[in-house]
Amino acid sequence: MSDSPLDLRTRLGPLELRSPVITASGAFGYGQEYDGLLDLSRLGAVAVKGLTLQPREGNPPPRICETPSGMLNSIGLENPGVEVFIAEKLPWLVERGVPVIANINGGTVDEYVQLAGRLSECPGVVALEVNISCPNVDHGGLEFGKDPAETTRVVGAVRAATSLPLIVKLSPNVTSIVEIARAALDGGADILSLINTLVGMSIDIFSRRPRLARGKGGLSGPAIRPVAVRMVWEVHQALPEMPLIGMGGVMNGADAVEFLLAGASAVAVGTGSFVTPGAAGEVLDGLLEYAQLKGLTRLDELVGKVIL
Amino acid sequence: MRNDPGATPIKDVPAALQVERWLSPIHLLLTFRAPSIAAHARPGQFVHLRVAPYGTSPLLRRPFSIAGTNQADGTLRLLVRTIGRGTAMLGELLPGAELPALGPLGRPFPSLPPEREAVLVAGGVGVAPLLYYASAREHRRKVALYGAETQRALVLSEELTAACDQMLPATDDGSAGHHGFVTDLLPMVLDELRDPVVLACGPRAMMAATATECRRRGVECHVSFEAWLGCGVGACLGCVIPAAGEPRRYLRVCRDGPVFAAEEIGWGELR
Repeated sequence: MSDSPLDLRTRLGPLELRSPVITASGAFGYGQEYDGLLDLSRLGAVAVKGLTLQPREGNPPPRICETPSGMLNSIGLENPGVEVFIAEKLPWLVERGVPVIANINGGTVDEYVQLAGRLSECPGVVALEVNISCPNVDHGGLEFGKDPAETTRVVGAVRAATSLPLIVKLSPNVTSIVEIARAALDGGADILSLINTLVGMSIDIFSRRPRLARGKGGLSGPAIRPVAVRMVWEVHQALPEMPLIGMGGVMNGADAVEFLLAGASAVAVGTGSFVTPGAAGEVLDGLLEYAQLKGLTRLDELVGKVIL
Repeated sequence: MRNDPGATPIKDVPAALQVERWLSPIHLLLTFRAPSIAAHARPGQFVHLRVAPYGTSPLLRRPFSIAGTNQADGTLRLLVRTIGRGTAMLGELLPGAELPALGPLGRPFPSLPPEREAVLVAGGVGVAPLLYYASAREHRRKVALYGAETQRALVLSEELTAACDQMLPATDDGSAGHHGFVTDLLPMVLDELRDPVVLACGPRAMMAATATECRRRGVECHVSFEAWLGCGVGACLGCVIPAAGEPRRYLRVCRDGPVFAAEEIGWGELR
């Protein structure tokens, strides 16, 4: 890494990362699950599995199914709750020097605020990612993320509760992603993550039942990449100063470059880690190769540089 | 399990196909060379194979129980029932093909005292981990009960017979052995044994019936589950099954299992 001509340090507003590749929330557990399968020191950060105040058991199985070049999931935010996370999961990442992005989920604005307050006290947590886009819960999640006024309200409340860099993870299941992005900015977001999963459904034609127990789920993987790239591009056009983390089917360096050209400053690897546990490392390798090929010294030379 | 000191190292390595043998029109026995997995694998563990290494269809890996290893040449065997696109593609591989293989994964069968008798209850391709177990572990007596739709589907039954003291087949159509469920044979076998332990792998209904019979008798029982997996390492929480007891909680097949003590499972809520 040190002999690389490419400066990988990535600035996202108030957040500086050592590399532009992040593991996406929900796809990388709490990091420990992938112990030994990739070099965590190469990651910009690990965005941990979505947290709630109280433990959540999650949705009944089946929770996942494969779809063309993608997958549907309806995990339902299974997690041990923020206190168990802080006591039992966070230390493992902190001991290894891995910057942690805490993904927070509430059923009410007050729950987001409490989570933000609690996690802001934890060394090692470098940013909060406000998840207003989970499609797999009955309360909260997407209810906030599809409405501009609600988005501003929840982001504003979290903003007041933390001095950490504030990332807001947006849903693609909206009419205008730019309108929601603006609403998040109005609430005080520093950075936007886009996109969360697209709501989808798949049916077993023999049993005539949905292939997920809950019926609908969130579509991820390469199948959604063009949608994600388009949304990153639209938001970057409208809000060029807003740092963006692009995600949606990032499997390799070429995919990451596509997101940078559309306007993202960093990328997150989600479903890719299921396909290849070391995918985030391969994405970084691919970025380095591309930079060498193109004679780049900084990746921000690419950001938003799609030629129209 | 896997974070215990001394836990087996998980590696994502290229596995080279050595031998492909069709055991029936839909059953494939694949021998892959993957020394780092073969060296550490234990019966009950599995590998997560990427079937289309250069494509996105199918996207997710496919999990297969290890049916046996050969330390001398660093190979492992996988038994595949070709039920969909991913498994069908495995049947089209040529020897020498390399697929990314993640393993060895999951909690293996427990270490059990050799002086106890082992009863292995296999349904269909659930025979794979039990054949590995029977070949690798010593018991005072090993009795296998092996059920399938029909005689031709009782693949690897000669090997299972050779690895056990007794092998009792059962078929749905009566073409071999008992005409009916493999679990019909269990009470008779358990009646004759002094201190048996039961290990089962097969359809969920078969394992549930096995667990019920064992519970009724107070016999120790371990079951190995199959599920659609995402990551295979316990991160995505996609493969869960209900745990026994209250409040409701789920177990990850890939990491908490695939082998579970029967009493860990919430059988009533399983679908």
